[in-house]
Amino acid sequence: MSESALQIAASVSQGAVTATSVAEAALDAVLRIDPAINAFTAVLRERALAEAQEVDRRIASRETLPLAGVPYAVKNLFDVAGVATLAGAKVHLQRPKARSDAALVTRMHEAGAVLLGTLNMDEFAYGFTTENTHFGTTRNPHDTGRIAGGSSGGSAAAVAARMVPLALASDTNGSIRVPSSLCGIYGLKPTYGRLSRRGSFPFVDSLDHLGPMATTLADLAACYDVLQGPDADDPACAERETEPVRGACDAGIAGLRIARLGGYFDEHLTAPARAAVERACLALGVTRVTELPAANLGRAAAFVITASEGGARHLAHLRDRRDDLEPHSCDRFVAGAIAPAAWYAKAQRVRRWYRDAVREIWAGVDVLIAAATPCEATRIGEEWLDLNGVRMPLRASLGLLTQPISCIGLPVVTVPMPRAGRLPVGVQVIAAPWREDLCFRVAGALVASGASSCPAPAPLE
Amino acid sequence: MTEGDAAAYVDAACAVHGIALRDDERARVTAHFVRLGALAATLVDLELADDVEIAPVFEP
Repeated sequence: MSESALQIAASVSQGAVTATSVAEAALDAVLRIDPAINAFTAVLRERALAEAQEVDRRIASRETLPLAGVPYAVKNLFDVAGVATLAGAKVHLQRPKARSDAALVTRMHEAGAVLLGTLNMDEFAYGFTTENTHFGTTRNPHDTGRIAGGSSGGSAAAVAARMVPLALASDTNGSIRVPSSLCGIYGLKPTYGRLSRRGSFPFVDSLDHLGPMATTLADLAACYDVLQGPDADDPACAERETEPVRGACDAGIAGLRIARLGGYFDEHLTAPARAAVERACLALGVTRVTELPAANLGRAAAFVITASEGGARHLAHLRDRRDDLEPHSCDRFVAGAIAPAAWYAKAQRVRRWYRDAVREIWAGVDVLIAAATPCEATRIGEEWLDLNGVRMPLRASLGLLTQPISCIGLPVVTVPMPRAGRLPVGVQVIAAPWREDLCFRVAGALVASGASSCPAPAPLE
Repeated sequence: MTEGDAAAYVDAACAVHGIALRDDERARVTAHFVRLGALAATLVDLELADDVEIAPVFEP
């Protein structure tokens, strides 16, 4: 599937191809490619063909569908009618099947997109590697001996391997941005509260976001635009009407004040990640460096809030089903479940204080640039990351650069910065709350400069 | 918090929460708890103004 989502939508809308034939080809591609990657946990052939036939009927009756016939897939924490919502967990295999689709899946359906299946993830989204003991490790399409990142590793790998042009995912501490970086694709973590989470399995209520992934920035924008809109059934979803970003990708960066994040964000980089940031800044003509006040405390607050809310949510499983839980995260969940309330309450207050401190910097800057991961994709099974001579636990450290941003809900587009012969690594383009448009303007400038693109991996079949 | 404090807390708190840890689990959970505690320690003594409230999303 080498065509972009917008190319497919144009072909289907013009009647050059049918959505049904696109869906059949896409399903075949999944069957051919996925054995090497293990991105999919379920392929929903019947549903995909039924949805595609409905699109063909809607096109025949002259409906305008922004994503007509575009195949996509979702992280398996999104409810899909008739499918048990796994959230990466063996203990969810016995759950009742979802009775309806998640809000964002419904919006994709309304836009004419065709759901092919559900995608692998770290159990309950608590991990950055998608080394799922029960459903298998998702492999990086650029080097199948390496991780795809996580927790939305299945989503990123399915997109990077060209099995689908679009995927939906979630990001609590970096779960869209980390795998997007390691798989070399475009990913959006919108402002906290922008997109409805109704019908997605929660991890950390205070920090959970949903968002899209794509192989082109224009596809990412088009997908995000159909996902927007308020939803009274998600208590965190803001009552904001759609603020389209499609036009922003080509709007240029004239007048924008852009700075690279130094300090904390400069201290946690390996050479390839540093090089990605430098190439982005060179392409944008950015020489200014600024700091996020107390980013380390923001990261600590996110870490404590995640451990506490995540652990509390799964207490019953931690009590009774530990042998069926993911060995990579079970002990971490237990430690979080018993964390003192004083730690959690203070972490929430620090988050508020840190939010207020960061709000002030937007008076002097519009967009911030930072690496999305400290390193390129590591080998499957790797336990440790060497960062400037300091040995750090890899599975927790991959989110060092993303956690301080999502802690306070800022919008981020992750942009791939490829280099020939090297593994991908991406940069975060960060803006003030509700200014996704500025993220897309700067990301669009990186694409226009040629510095950012999403090269396909070597054939995987 | 010493390693011993952490181990004692993990034992007591798991008992309170009804989590019966095996010895191998106890060691790993304690290691994670110590790591969590080190990050929490950067927060608990931070002086904040009294009006810095938790920012929950709750609409009665």
